[in-house]
Amino acid sequence: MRSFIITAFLFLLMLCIIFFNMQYVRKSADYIIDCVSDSSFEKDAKEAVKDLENFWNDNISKISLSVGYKEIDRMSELIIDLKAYVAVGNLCEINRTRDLIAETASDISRLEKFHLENMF
Amino acid sequence: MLTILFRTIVIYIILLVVMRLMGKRQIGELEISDLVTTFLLSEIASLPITDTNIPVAFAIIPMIVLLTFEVSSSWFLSRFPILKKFLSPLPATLIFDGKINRREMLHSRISLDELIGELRQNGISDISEVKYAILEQNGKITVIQKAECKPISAEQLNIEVCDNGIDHIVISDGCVNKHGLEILGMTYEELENILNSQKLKKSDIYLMLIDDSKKVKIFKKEKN
Repeated sequence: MRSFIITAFLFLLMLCIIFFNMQYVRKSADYIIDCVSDSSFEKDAKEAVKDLENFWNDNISKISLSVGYKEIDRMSELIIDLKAYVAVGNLCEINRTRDLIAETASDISRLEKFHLENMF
Repeated sequence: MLTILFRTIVIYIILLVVMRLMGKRQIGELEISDLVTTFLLSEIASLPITDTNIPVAFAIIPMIVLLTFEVSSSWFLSRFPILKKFLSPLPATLIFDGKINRREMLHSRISLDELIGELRQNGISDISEVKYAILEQNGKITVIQKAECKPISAEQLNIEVCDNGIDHIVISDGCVNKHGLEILGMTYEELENILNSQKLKKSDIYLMLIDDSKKVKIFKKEKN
């Protein structure tokens, strides 16, 4: 009986962690998508990339608890790329990288949703 | 995390169904749920150890899910035995009163060679000597001989036999085993008396056994 109670407690604790982590990751992914899709990005790209980079660096440790290293590394690389393109002012690459960041963020968000696509 | 959680549940259920359909012979000594958990746990645990690209959380979640399934299934099965027939196949009588039950043999996918081999392992060479051969839930075959073919027991011959019980380790490599003494209900002083009566020191003894009838067996250390 004792092992059953301990197991039930562990399982509920795990469900709580999963739930709160899911909310956190989805909110973070939404923030990133908003950040790169926002029209203010065109006005002050340097400031927007800096905000994005700061946000990512502040939250990377919490997000990487449940998101695979592959997605984390891809997002980090894309943000570095975007920073470089903004610095040289390559508009074509900036737009392409913004789209890729948005896509990677929606992938991260999708993995934290109940989707048949994720199951199989 | 959510994906890992649901994937673990889906794979666990699929494996459980597959193992249940495979029948008793694939199970071995374990229950189906135990076997599935053992399969999955060994794989899950080894992945993040060898592959640094996989976060440890990806192994912890399936482990907790499997632990929950394992503990809760055994808890429910012990309280509601009727559920057991869904998880474990019922025992099948392969031989009854010296006659092979072909239907059960086919149903359990046991070949005649396998059955004869199992009988041989039980020291039986003639099927007509068998009263029951039952394929148990864990995949083992229990063979029960007819009364007239069973070896004669001391009870049937009215012979009194001395039951010495089992041997308990009292001294192992010169060290006293307190647990062994406790089981025998002996004190340290009593042990010392036995050693003194045989003019032995603890350090000279490699193994000292005392059975339930207090019979002492001593194996001394070999001197180099």
